[in-house]
Amino acid sequence: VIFKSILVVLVIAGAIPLIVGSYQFLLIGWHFRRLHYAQCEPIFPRTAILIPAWNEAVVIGASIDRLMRLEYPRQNLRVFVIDDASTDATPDVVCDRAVRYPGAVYHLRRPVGGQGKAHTLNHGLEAVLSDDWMQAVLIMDADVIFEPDSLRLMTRHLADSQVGSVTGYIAEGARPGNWLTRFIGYEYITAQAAARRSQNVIAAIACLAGGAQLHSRANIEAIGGRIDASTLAEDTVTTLTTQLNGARVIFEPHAVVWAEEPGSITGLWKQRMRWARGNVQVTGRFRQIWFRPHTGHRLGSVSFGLFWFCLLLQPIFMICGSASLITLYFIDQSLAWHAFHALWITNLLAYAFITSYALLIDTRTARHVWRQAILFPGVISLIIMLAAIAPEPLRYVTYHTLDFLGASGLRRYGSVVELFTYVWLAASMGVAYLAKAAETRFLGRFISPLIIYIAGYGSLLCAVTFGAYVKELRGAEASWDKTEKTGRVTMSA
Amino acid sequence: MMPREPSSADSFEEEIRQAVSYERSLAYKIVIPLALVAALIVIRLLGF
Repeated sequence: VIFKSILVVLVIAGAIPLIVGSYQFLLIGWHFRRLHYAQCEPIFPRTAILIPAWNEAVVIGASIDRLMRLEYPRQNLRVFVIDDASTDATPDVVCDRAVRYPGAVYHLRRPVGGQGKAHTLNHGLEAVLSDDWMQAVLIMDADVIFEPDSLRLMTRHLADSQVGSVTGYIAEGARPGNWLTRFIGYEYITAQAAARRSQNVIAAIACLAGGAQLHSRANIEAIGGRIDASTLAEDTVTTLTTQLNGARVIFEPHAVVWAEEPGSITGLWKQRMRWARGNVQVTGRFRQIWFRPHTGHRLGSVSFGLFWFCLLLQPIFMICGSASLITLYFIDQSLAWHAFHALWITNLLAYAFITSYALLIDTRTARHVWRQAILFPGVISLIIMLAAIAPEPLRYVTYHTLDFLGASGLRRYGSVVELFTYVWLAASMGVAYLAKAAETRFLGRFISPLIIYIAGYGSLLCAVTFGAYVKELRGAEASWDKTEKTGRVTMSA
Repeated sequence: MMPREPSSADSFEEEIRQAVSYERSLAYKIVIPLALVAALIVIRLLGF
């Protein structure tokens, strides 16, 4: 009995990430009570914009032009392009802009590049800290588009000396984009517009967006005047260190920044593998903070710990859930069936809540990505959820379809289908991985999206996280892969 | 002391008002997903 109870608990634990996700979304309803606007003032600190760039000739010129059109006093803005030993026309483009915008654009070149973004940024930080001009630093990516008001919406929070950093809302901006960028667009509503609002509520931010992070000079000096280069998650280290030092980090949801994200699974896999491995590294490095409440910061709160670990351990929850269901199936089929129902009904309720609320949070992006939002868990998981909430209608349709097709003999394979649904929670990750493997093969352009729509984009992200565990356990070399940019990003209407 | 833009005070206040209003609207909008969840629970309880 004890063994069975443990198995049931492990099955239900499979729903914990989505339950915690729902809790995170519920907190958004409280966001309006925790806004920082009462401490804001319309200030325009002298801001140094740091853009690390390696072979960004395609996008860097337009990016600088757009920065020069920000609603911000031009005399208080200096753009520093930190050229990481580019081999394309990046230096020429930047020098051209330096001539066009005298005193506002600077080209800093590293003689030897390829060490990663943190090293590149540190080259720029050293330069801007060498005199007293800079009062704030904006770190951004070469391709992102700041909406004209974004920077000033962020700087107003720095009027509060308790605030060390401010981050904006990074939205996926490739238009028309493809099926994958639309999945990412929806993911960014949940991971940025939604999750960071709830992190504002609990006053603990997990990560400043790499493409839009504003720091006060005091904060940059407090973290040692440089970005940590020892992990693959330099933005997260900066964020956590800032808060551990007692400074506040604010997410400003109305400062919108459009970014180009990978348009292929291979590109996405590389990017997310770097992020996931970075998160594994950061978890170990900051092991003294988790679930240990502290008077100086909120990173030790139970809520923040739950948010962090549910995301990090989601593949483990899925594998445990599936393994427990299968074990239960062989020792108590009826109990397995009930546990399965409890798990998937919970998943369905959480999915319905999160998806519908996310689409309401950012309706502008939602118009573009609502199909991918619905199909985020994949077609098979959607059918399983449907079977869990309304088994009789689904059974009726299935049996009549089989009869219509003259295949009613297949009904006797019901137990195989049952076992398949138990395995699916974990197996979906493996199937999603196949999409990556298939992408570069014959007909991969058509097969890969099909696999993701069937297995789920969420499962693909979990597969990446699982891959990150494996790489970290193996001690695989940590390389810094740059995401390819093509300049497809535009400001959405 | 951070530089300020004196002429922008009115628009600043207006922007803050709009932002607060938007955030408040999200608190109201949460009723819709909660109603959806309630509807699904009812469907389940009705024994489909």
